[in-house]
Amino acid sequence: MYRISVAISILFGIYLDSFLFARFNILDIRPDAMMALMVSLGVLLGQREGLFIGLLSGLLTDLLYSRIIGLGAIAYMLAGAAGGIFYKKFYADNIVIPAVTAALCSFAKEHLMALSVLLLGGRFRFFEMFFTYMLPCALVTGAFCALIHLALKPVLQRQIRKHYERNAGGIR
Amino acid sequence: MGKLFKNKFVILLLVIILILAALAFITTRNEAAATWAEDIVNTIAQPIQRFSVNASNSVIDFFEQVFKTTDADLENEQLRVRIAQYEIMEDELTNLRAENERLRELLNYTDTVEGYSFVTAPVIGRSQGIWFNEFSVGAGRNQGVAENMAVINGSGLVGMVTSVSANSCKVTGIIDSTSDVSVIVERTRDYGFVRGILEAGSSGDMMELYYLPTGNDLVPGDIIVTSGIDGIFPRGITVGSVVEVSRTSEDAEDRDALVQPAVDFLRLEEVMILTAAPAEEEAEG
Repeated sequence: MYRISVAISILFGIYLDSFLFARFNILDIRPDAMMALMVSLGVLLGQREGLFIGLLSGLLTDLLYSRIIGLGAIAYMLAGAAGGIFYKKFYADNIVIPAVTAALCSFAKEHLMALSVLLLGGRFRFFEMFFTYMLPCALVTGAFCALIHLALKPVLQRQIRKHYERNAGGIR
Repeated sequence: MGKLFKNKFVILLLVIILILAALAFITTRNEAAATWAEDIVNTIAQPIQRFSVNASNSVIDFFEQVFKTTDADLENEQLRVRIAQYEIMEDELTNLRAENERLRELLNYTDTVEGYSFVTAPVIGRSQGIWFNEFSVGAGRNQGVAENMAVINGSGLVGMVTSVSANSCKVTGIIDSTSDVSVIVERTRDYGFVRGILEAGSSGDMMELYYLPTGNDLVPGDIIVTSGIDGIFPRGITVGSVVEVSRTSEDAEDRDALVQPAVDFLRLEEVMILTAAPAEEEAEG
């Protein structure tokens, strides 16, 4: 059951990034919903799950919307793995850890994207982009991750507990 | 450091990163490299994408309609302005009809596009962030779309098809900072290039015009159209208009002017993909 919830949340994340935040944003600043989601899932499910969910989600978004396939996958995979570092290491109510992790991952992803634009021949003023886009987007992604985490945690934790209880019962 | 590389998880992570980096490198060089995977993913995802985009657009339209009709005074004012505009337009209509033929020749736009066969398709998704201006369109190989085809809408040039799968394609907009379009200034007949400006904030989607010959007399309001010499975009399609002339030196790399695209990229919902040139159609016929 929790796998269905994860799949639905990924589809919702893709919708937010590819449609809603693309159309509604303030001065081009918008949260990276998939990044926030990957970090939150990593924190809730663990490092390996976070890594593979991030990898698959990243490949999916790359194949659907991006010219460069693999770049988003690297970013989301590392975000899932980074979130997984904190799996069961902090109180489940802690939203600061996922928020800060998401902000840092988003910050790193924006640098990766900036590098790829430069390598493809695009030109931009780095410091202007840094202060007007990269930094604000990272902060907004962190805040969005806190919200996502608050929404996902009660649903997923209950479902994961049931899943493991059922599996343990089956083995006996 | 040695301990780190003995950790199986870290090794797995590094291997996957290397594979993905190689994939990213290959796909920037060769767009067709992952076509089979794109086919599968897009075929499965497209009905969901279309449904969500249509549903969202309907909801947005509904709310826009509601907010527009609640302010009756504002509506009355808008109607009064419209009536005044129609009266002026009626007087000008006769003159415009006479000018129409001349303008057609001058722009060479309508005729050019009319000669092409095209596929109309909805925009079904956009890439995350502002680094690349890319979007998915709901027409692909099965509808006759191929790479490097020009994409337009009623206002002007939108971009170019960069990747095609069975029933959808990816389009890179002309406001992308990595895209170059060969253009001509309609009034002065000077050739140049436009490319997108990567900037966040209030300036909106803008492009820069560069490589114009020295001594050009560009003025704000000049219309920029495609030159047709790149072999991708047909000649005479409106690209945008000059909003600011900013050339400061003789250096060819410097921007000559700031250009506002004719297309509103934020509200882009449907596009036309030019699938065949008139000559190609005749040859096929």
